[in-house]
Parts: sequence; structure tokens; C-alpha cells
Amino acid sequence: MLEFKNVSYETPEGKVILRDVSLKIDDRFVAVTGPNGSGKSTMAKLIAGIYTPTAGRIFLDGVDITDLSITERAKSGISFAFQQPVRFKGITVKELISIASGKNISVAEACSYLSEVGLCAKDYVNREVDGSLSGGELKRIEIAMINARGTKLSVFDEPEAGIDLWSFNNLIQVFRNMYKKTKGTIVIISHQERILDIADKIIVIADGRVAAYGTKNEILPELLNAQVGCRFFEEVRK
Amino acid sequence: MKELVYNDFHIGADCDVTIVAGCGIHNSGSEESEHSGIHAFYLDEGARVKYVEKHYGQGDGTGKRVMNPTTVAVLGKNSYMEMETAQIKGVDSTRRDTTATLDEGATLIVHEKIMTHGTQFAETNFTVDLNGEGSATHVISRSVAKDKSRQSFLSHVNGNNRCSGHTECDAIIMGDAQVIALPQIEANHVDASLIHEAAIGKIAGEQLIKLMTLGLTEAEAEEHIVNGFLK
Repeated sequence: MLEFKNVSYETPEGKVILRDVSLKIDDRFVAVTGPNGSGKSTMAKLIAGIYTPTAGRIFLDGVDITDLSITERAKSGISFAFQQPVRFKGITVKELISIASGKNISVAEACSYLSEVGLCAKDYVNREVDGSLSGGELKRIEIAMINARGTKLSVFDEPEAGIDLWSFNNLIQVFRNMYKKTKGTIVIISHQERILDIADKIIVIADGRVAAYGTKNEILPELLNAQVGCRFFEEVRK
Repeated sequence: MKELVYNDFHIGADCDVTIVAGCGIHNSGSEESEHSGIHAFYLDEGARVKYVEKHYGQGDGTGKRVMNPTTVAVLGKNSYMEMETAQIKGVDSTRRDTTATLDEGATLIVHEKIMTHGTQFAETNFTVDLNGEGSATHVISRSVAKDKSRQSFLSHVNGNNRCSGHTECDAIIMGDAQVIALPQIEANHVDASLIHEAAIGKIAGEQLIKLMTLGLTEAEAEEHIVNGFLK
């Protein structure tokens, strides 16, 4: 179980991103949504240890992890899939998946992780994770790495971003399978209704605060009917 | 001690050969030890050569290990040469000079890998003359400069006919190191197509963070990135 207790985050430049957020995540599949700039990615980076809260504490299974480094958090069972995957000159897909799984994996094992995300391993296993891969391919490899880690908490920052519409059905299936096969908790930051639809719970973040938290039946209707527009435009129209 | 070694290779028409050259210096004394070699390759029409050069230095003495290799390549019509050079640590000072002339339809590919540390110094100079019609070259250098080491990469590709040339230098700089990259291209013919690229930078923070989220320490992540880069 993951818990935020009065967590705030302010950038070094003084911009407040998260304001006194308290929440508990104890369901298997939780989606985090909200407008751009609301603080969702910051929340994910606070979980992974990339950012440190300016106030408040973070707990994983009752253990205070606030002061743990990125490496220590990874070792304590947290995985984080980046919104914009990183490229590495000279490091192959198989090597990255090996690092993720913590052991030197065989080609057959690499294949199973890659086929899970809809990539034919034969074409990818010895490819370098560099500029020759498209954004969509990198996103899939990023997800394969998280699968290979198999940790108790996996956080995905907008996994659908950069994935084409034709592949999107497969992506939903990837998360359905992950839900079935793993015992860990999956936290996905997403704007996609179809991802929100398969989540046990949905958290809505707006303006650095938890605006709503509940089941999809409680949250989705309200979310879909909400008038999302330009506040300035609404005001000048009056 | 200083020594100078000459090796001349004549590769006949349509031959396909691999040549491996390994040079090592072991210096456990306090005096400077210099090993320099001049390797010349003459490729006849249609010949193919893969030349692999590995340099290595060791020894716990205070004497400097100096290695200055010179490579001369003369590529005949439609010949092909691929040159792989690696110098990873160990050598205190090196000056590497490579000159090549290419005839009609000839191709030269160079992959150079260098890692320096401590106060080492490595200088690389490439001069490639694309004289023949349809000749081509790719000169690619990847290097890592650590600690207070210094590196200098100069390449000079001359397009003297309808030809294509590409020179690229990609370096990771760490600590208090210094890297100079000067990939120079010179077109002396209207149909010479030449490209140069050079990039020097430290390891990207996001690369370190990504590998740390996979459970590696910062030092382990750095090692993986450097080893991959020079692989």
C-alpha cells in the first residue's frame, strides 16, 4: 500500500505543484488523471524518488520511504515507466531488460517480455535503444522493462502517449494481462477514458490537489460531463 | 626506451583479409617508454581489408607509457577497408595519425574508440583524400574522457571528385577532462557530398535516473552507460 501524508512539492523556482496531498492507494489498479499541469507527473516522480517532497511523508507498506534514494526505492519494490523514455547509445534492448530484471536473461526470456508488449523480439532484442527506435517502440520497451522487474508497485506516466491508435487496443490488453499475472499494484497516469475504464479506482488531480477519488462509476460520469475549457474565455463571455 | 616499428601490407586484387594488430606497453620502471608504429596498407583493385588495432598499456612504474601509431592507407579502385581501433585506458600519451587516399569507387570506414583517464592525453588526426569518382568514407569516433585527461580529435576529409564523406565525433566528458573536436570537411569538387558532426557532453542526467529506477547505483549506472557507448 502506498500512502501520501500531507505531501507538498514546490519547484526550486518557487512554483507550487502539489499542495498538501494525503491519499492511500490500496487497490490493485489505480488510474490518476487530471488536466495538464495539475501535478500528476510530479506525483509519480515523488513516488520514484526523483523528486523529494518539500513537506509531508510518503509510505510504502507502512515504511517511510521519503528519504530513500531512487536506487533504494527501486530496490524496495518501486518501478517507474517514464512518459518520455530515455535513449542510450550502445545499450541494447536485451541489456536494458536484463538490468531491469536484475539478472542476465536469455533471448527466450527477453522474447517473452517483448511479445507481451506486441514487439517481435527477433527484430528488437539486439537493437540499440537509441535514436533509431520510434517513440512508440521506446514506450513499449519501457513497459517491457517494468514487466521484467515485476515489483510490488509499478507507476506508469502516460503509457499511451506516442502509441498509435492501431496499437492502442493491444496496450489495454497489456495492462489487463499485467493485472491478471502480477500481484503488484499498478498506478497509471492517463488521460484515456479506456484506461480509466479498466481501473479499480480513479484519482483526479487538479491544481495540485486531490479533486476526487473513487470507483469509475463514481468518477467517470462526472469527469466526462465536466466543462473543460478556458476559464478566461468563460469569464469574458459573461 | 623508444622503439619504432614499420609494417607494410600489400593486399592483392580481389583479396579479402583481416589483419589484427595488437600493441602493448608494460612499463614498470620510472623512465618513459615509447612505442611507435607506422602501418601502411596498399590495396589493389577490388581488395577488401578489415584492420583491427588494439592498444593497451600496463605497469605500475612511474614512467610514462607513450604510443604513437601512424597508419597510411592507399586504396585502389573499388577496394574496401574497414578500420577498427580501440584504446581503452592504460596509455599515458598517444598521437594517432591516419592518412588515406581513395581511388575510384573505394570505400574507407573507420571506427575509433578511446577512453582516457587520470592525466592521459590522446590526440587523433585523420586525413582522408577522396580522389576517385564514387569514393566514400565514414570516420566515426566515440570517446570518453575522464578525470583530468585531455583528448583532441581532428579529421580532415577532402572531397576531390564526385564522392561522399561523413565524419563524426561523439564524446562523453567527465570530471575535469577536456575534449576538442574539429571535424573538418573540404569540398574541391561540385559533386562532393560531405557531412560532419560533433557532439561533446556529459552523461545525460535522465540516463542515470532511468538506470537508477531499475535498481542500479549512480556509479553502476555510469559504468553501464560508458561501457555501452564504447562497445
